[in-house]
Amino acid sequence: MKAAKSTKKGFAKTSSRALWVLPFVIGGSLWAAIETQRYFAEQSANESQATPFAATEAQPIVLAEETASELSIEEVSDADLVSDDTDLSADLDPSLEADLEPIGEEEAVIELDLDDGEPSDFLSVEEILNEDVDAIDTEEEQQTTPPEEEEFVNLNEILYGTTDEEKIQEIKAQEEGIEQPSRQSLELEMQALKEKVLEINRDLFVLEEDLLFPSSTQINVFVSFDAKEYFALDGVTLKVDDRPISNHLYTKREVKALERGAVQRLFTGNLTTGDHELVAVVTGVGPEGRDYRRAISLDFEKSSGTKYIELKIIGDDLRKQPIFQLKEWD
Amino acid sequence: MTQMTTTIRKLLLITLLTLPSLAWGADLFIGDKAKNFTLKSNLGENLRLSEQRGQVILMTFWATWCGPCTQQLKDFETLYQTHKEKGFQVWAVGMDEDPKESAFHGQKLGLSFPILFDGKHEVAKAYMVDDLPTTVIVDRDGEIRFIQEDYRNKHLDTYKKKLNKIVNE
Repeated sequence: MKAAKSTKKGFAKTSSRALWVLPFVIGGSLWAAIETQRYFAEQSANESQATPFAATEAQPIVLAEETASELSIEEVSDADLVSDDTDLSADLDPSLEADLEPIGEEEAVIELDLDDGEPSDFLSVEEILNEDVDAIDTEEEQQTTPPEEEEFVNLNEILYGTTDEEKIQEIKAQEEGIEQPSRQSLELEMQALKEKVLEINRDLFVLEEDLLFPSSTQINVFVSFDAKEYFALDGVTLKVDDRPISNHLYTKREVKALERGAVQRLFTGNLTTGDHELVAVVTGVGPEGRDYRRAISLDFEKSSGTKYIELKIIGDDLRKQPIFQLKEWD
Repeated sequence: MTQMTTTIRKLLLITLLTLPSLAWGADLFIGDKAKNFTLKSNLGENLRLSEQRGQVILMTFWATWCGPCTQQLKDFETLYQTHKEKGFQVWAVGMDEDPKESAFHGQKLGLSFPILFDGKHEVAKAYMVDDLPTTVIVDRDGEIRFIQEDYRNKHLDTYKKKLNKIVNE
C-alpha cells in the first residue's frame, strides 16, 4: 500500500514537473513556426529578385575545319604570292602531267582585238557609267526564258494566286474587312467582362452590408456641408447613448468634395430597437478664424427597418454663421 | 487533489506570462500594406496616408524627450531636400501628449516637412512602435519597404541607399 502510494506520489511529481515545461514548449514551437514562415517568405522574395538566368559554363568555341583553313589564308604573306615570272610547272607533280590535256599555243593565248568592229565582251568605264539602267537590254537578255526555267517566282502569285493588280487590291480590301470585326469583337467582349465584374463587385458589397448590418438594426449617419463662407470643417465625432461610435478628421480633399455637394456616409452600424440619443460634435474654424466646437443632439426611436440620419452644416447669411442640424430621413 | 490544483494554477500563470511571447508573431513586416490613418499636422490641415498613394513616405515616430530623434530629424531634413522633387515626403509623427511641444521643437530645428500629432498613440500602436525613434518607409503603392528602430550615425548611409532605390523605381 505504502509502495503504491509512494509510486503515485513519484508519478504526480514527475507529471507536475513535466507540466511546468509544457507552456514553454508550446510558446517556443509557435514562435519557431512564425519565424520559419517569415524566413521562407523573405527567401521567396529574394529569389524573385534574383537574376532569372543562371550562369552557364562557357562553351568552348570549335572552329570547323573549313573555317580553319579559310583563316589560314590570312597568314599568306606577300612573299608567298606567285609572281608572273614564276614557273608554275615546277611545283606540279610529275605523275599528274600525264592527266593534263595538252594546251595548244593558239588556245593558250586569248587575244583581245578591239579594232575588228565586233562588239567586245568587256565594257569600258565610261560605258558602264553612262549605261542606262532602264534601257532595252541586248538581244540575248531580251529573250524571255520559258516559265520552267525562271529562278524567281512572283510573290503576289504565291500570296494572292494572281498577278493582276486589281484583283490583288480587292483581295487585300476583303482581308482588311475581315480583321476589323474580330478586333472590335474582342474589345466588346473585354468591355462586357469589365461591366460584369463591376456588377458582381457591387452585388458582393450589398450582400456584405446585408450580412454585417441587417436592415432591422442598421443605422446610417450622413454628413452634408453647405457653409463654405462661414465655416472650415475639421472633424466630426459621433456618440450614441454617450458611447463614442465614430471620430473622423477631414482632409482638404474631402472638404472640397463636400463643398461641391457630396454627401458623406460617416457611420454605418447596428442599433437595437427603442429610444436612443445621437450626439454630434463638430470642430472647425469659424468666422474670423476662431476655433469652433459645436455639439448637437437628436433623440430618435429605432424601429425595425434601416434608420437614416443626416448631419447638415449650412450657412446662415443673416448672422454670417454656420448652422448645425440633425435630421431624420423617412 | 490539492497538489493537482496548485499545479494547474501554476500552469495557468506560466501560460499567461508566456502569452506576450506569442505576440511576436504580430510584428510589422516588410511587404505589409501600411495601415491607413489620419492625423492633425502643424500645417493646419489633416493628413491621411491613403491620399498619398504615388508618393514615397518616410514616417518617423519621435518625441521631444528622445535624444537620437533630434539628430535623426536633422538628417531627414537633408534627405527630404534631396528627394522632394521626386515625390518624396517625410512625416514626423510626434508622440508628445501636448502637440504644441512637438510643433515648437520642429520649428526650432527648422524642419520643412510636416509634423503630425499622435498624442493618444493610436497610430503608434497600429504600427507596433516599441522604441523611439522608429522609422517606416512606405513606397508609392502603399507597401512597407523598410523598418528601422533606433538611430545611429551609420544608419544615415542605409537610409540614403534605400531611398535612392525606392524613390527612383
